[in-house]
Amino acid sequence: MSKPAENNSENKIIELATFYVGGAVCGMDILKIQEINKLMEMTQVPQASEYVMGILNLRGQIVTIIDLARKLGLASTQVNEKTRNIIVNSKSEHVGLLVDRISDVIPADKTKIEPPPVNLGGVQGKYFKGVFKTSKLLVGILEIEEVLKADQ
Amino acid sequence: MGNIDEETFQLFITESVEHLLDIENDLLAIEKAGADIDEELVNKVYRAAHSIKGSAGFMGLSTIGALTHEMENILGRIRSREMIPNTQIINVLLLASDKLRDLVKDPTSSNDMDVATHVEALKAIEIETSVESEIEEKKKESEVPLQEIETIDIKFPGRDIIFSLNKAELADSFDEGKRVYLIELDLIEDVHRKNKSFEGFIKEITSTGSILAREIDLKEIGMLDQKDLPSSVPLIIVFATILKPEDLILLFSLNKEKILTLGANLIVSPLPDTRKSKRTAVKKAPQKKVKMQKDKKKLSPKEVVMETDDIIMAAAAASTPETSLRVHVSLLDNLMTLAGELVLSRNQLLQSIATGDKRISESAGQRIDLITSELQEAIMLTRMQPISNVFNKFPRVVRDLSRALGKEVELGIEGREVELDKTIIEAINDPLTHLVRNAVDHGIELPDERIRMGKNSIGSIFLRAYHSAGQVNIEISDDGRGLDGERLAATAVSKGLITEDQARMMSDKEKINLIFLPGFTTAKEVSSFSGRGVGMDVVKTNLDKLGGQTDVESQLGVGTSVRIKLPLTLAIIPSQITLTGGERYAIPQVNLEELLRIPASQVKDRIERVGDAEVVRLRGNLLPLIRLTDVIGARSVYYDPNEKIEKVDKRKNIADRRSKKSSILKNAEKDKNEEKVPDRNIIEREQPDRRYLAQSALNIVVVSTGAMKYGLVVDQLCDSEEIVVKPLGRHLKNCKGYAGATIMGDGRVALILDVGNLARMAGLTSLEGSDRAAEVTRKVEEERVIKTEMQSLLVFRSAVDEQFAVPLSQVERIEKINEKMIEDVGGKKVMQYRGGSLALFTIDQVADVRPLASDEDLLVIVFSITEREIGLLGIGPIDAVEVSTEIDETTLRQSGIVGSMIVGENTTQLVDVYGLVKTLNPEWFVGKKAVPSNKGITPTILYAEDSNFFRKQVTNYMKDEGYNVLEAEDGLIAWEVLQEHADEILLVVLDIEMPNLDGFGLAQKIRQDDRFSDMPIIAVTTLAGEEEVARGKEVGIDDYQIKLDREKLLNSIKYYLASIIERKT
Repeated sequence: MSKPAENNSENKIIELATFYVGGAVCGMDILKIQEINKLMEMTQVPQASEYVMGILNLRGQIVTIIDLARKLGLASTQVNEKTRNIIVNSKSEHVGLLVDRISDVIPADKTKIEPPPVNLGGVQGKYFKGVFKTSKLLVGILEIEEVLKADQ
Repeated sequence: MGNIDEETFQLFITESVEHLLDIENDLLAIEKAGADIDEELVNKVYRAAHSIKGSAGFMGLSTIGALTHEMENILGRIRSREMIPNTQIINVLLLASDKLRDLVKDPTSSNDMDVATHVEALKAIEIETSVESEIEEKKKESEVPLQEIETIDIKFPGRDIIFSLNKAELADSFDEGKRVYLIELDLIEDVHRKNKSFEGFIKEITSTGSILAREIDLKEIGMLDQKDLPSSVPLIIVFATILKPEDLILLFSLNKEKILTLGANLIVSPLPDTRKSKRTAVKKAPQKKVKMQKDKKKLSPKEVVMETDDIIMAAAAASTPETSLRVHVSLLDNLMTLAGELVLSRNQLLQSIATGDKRISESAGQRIDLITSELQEAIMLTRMQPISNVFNKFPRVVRDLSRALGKEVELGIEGREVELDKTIIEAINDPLTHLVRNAVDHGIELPDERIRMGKNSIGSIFLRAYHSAGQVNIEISDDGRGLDGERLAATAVSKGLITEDQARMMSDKEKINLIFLPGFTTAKEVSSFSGRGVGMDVVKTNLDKLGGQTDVESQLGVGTSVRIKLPLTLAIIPSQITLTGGERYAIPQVNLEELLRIPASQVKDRIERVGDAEVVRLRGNLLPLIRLTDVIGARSVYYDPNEKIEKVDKRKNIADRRSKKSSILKNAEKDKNEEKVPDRNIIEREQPDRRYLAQSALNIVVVSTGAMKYGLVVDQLCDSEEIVVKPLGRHLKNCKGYAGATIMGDGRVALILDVGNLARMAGLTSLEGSDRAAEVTRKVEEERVIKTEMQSLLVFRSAVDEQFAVPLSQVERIEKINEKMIEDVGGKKVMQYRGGSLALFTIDQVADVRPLASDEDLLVIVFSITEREIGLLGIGPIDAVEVSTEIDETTLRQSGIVGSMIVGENTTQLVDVYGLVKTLNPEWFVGKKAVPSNKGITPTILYAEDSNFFRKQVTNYMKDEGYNVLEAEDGLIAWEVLQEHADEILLVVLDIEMPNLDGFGLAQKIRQDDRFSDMPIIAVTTLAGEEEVARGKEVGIDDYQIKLDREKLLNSIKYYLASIIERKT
């Protein structure tokens, strides 16, 4: 295999961290994730938007935890021993996404990522940048910056 | 420019900005000095401009170079005294330095910026001054003959020629900043050979200066009969010009050796080498010239407005936050040491954890604790900046603005060295600029007006910064016209911001504080009155954001003073932790006034409803209440003692159903409200009412933000802690109720409350608050008059089942002693106390009560009577209580006991300590009756008091002392009595709370009557609050005393009587 080809294939494959949100499998580029934890000692913030679960002390930093299901317009997540926070760093601020449970990391060929189905329009549509099909399941790839935007 | 790296640029910027900072103040100093030029100062500015020019040239920043070059030129001429710095010149220089600052801040694009106007202005000054001097010169010339001519003889070195110069003319030349040269010209070499006519040559010279004298050295020419034509015809002229020697050489293409200068000291010297020389001093300033220029440059009003705007813009622009900071190396060294220690302690800790040695890990933990706090302090210090960084901008602002407005203002600054956190320094720049600007614009009057008012024509503004109680105080005071509370109120009413009713109920201070009301007014509209108020609400909001408190004091015609209190730093703040809905909330201590816990049993008495708002009664004032749960929508929980779990509190109103509802104002509205709140609790409860359990006590945090003060109801009060403020994420930016978050000791996050915003969210503005309070205060006042006053008592026992009380105010101290410490000496009980003996008494020695319990542990209540201390023996439990029950002065009265009342279900006897001591030691009181007498007549005192008990008590001890006492049951009766006995009564003692006419009213009435204007008035109260005392002073009350503090009251009476008698005789 020649070198350019190798580079090319590296660029083409991204690793997707997948997780369950309200029954559906979603994924995001693993490189965007800072860490995944199961800290659930959140402080509630009255008055905050409904999708904000609370705030959390992550080694001295205040992290806002967002209930991803709520943000996507699904029923709110029930916290149990499987729920996890995916901490992502965006715009020099840490934000945590609360998900039902974490699943596998799957390599995905960029070229095989298809645009989101047209009927997934409206509010939900803008949160997905594509879908990726594996032999077993369909992974919705999140448009993470959009998810992290604060609702007005 | 491409090869210059970013770092060099940064260096250039920092350096230049520093230079520019100095330039501004130095220029102002130069202006102040006027003609009395301080060369050092001018040199300093010159060097600063020069070094900017130098580095700019190096980096190819041609625009900056050009501008600095022109500045340098002017400065050079000032330095060489060719130009006297006047306001005009300094102004142009200042504007140029402003422009320069803009350029320097963005050097990469500076070359594209236009500085033509500044360069032209600078050039114009150079030309203008030359032209002007010529005009004046001509004027002078025509004036010369009128003066008596005094001459000075100057000898040209190396020649026999002696010039007789007109002294006045010479002096004038010097005064105008000209230099005087002695020039040797050769008519042949310099004139003839260059094809000039003599006449033309002279004309040419006089266009640049004036010839004071001229002479041809005939000796040099030789005799006419000599054969050869003379090779030179030396013409020597004394030439006065503003030109520099360099220019002179250039102009006439002269030889340097042929020019000599004449100093003001009249010493002729050869030309110095270029410009490095120091020139002799010019002594007198050309006053005339400065004035002339002033007249010429009188600005039309429109221009003034523009200029002031520019000034504000300039000041605002100057507040760009700095990104780098200079820190002293010693501080960094200190940090380094601390970091080193921290590492060592960490190693120790890790090791001890590995080995499981608890002792070592404990000590390491302690060390880390210590180091951390030191580290915190040291890091904080690096952020500290002197307030002069802000203050130093103000001389310029004041100067520019006052000039533009035609006012004369002197700015005093004190406390430049006070240090504040960098972020605060940056944030206070704008608000302070605003305040200073307001002081000049609206505070200080025009000079004529000031003179009319009998003030110094020069207004003064004083800026002061100082530390106090862990906070930094900044005061901005002026001696201007002050604020007119009435007018402010009228304006606010006309703008519909408050109602007339509200305005009527406001105190003067509240009226003045109206300027902080959003939308109160804009500059122009208020300037026509006597106010200020340009965006004062913005000023206040900005300062509030910093945790600052703003306070305005103003006296009409005398001046205004704004005081700002600021925390030293924003990063770490002491806070009160509270618990609501199971979550902790921190309230910054700066906002905290006090903590209030209202026992469940008192809720119905102290919480009241006005309309649909709840208020708490706090020391006679009413405080609006806000429930934290209501504002932010959290659940409130309470602990249910029956089910032993926490339950959600469902109470809609804090105020009990049985609480009083205020019936004043908005009657109709109130009725509607009443309907809206249905009585939910009609069902009989089987269990004891929860309302009387300790858990249902109401916890109130009394907070204040500036003018607003309210009570925040929380579920629980916890500790106070120092917290580190962390910002909230962007998802929570719309939650206005929080100032941030912090991490508590257990690792969980707590929100920090923004009490100002909470109040706003609850719809509570300062006015509403005060309105609400004023409304109910009135009613409370009325009620209080009817009700018996509260009395603070110390309750104790003598025998186990007999309770006694003494007025708390009389008690000096309480000591716990052992029975063995009591000695029996000469039939009297004493104990050793503070190096002496303390006489001890028991109540049963005088009164017919049960004997003192034989207990090992005894209490000694120490009183001070007739300047001696005595101890009353008793036993516990002791308690301080406030009772309002009527004192029964008949049933249990006996010697030593003045009356009785019920305290906590026990009959309690009130001890007459004074009587007790008097019965036992009558000799102590002998010779004490040194009552001041009025020509042998016993002085008469009028005593107004509504409570029978107190009236009798106080009257008795005044009579005991030997005074005549006239009693009155209320203020009105007192006034009548005073009218009747106007000649007898020398002094009035009055109670404040009385029906019909209260103490304040009575005092006012007395003071307004000419006959009694100097009558001493002493008020007696049960509790004298500061506000009350202040109010009393206002209406003319001379002194405040506590009712049952016999000693002090009598001393006060004696003092005032003595002074009034002295005055009358």
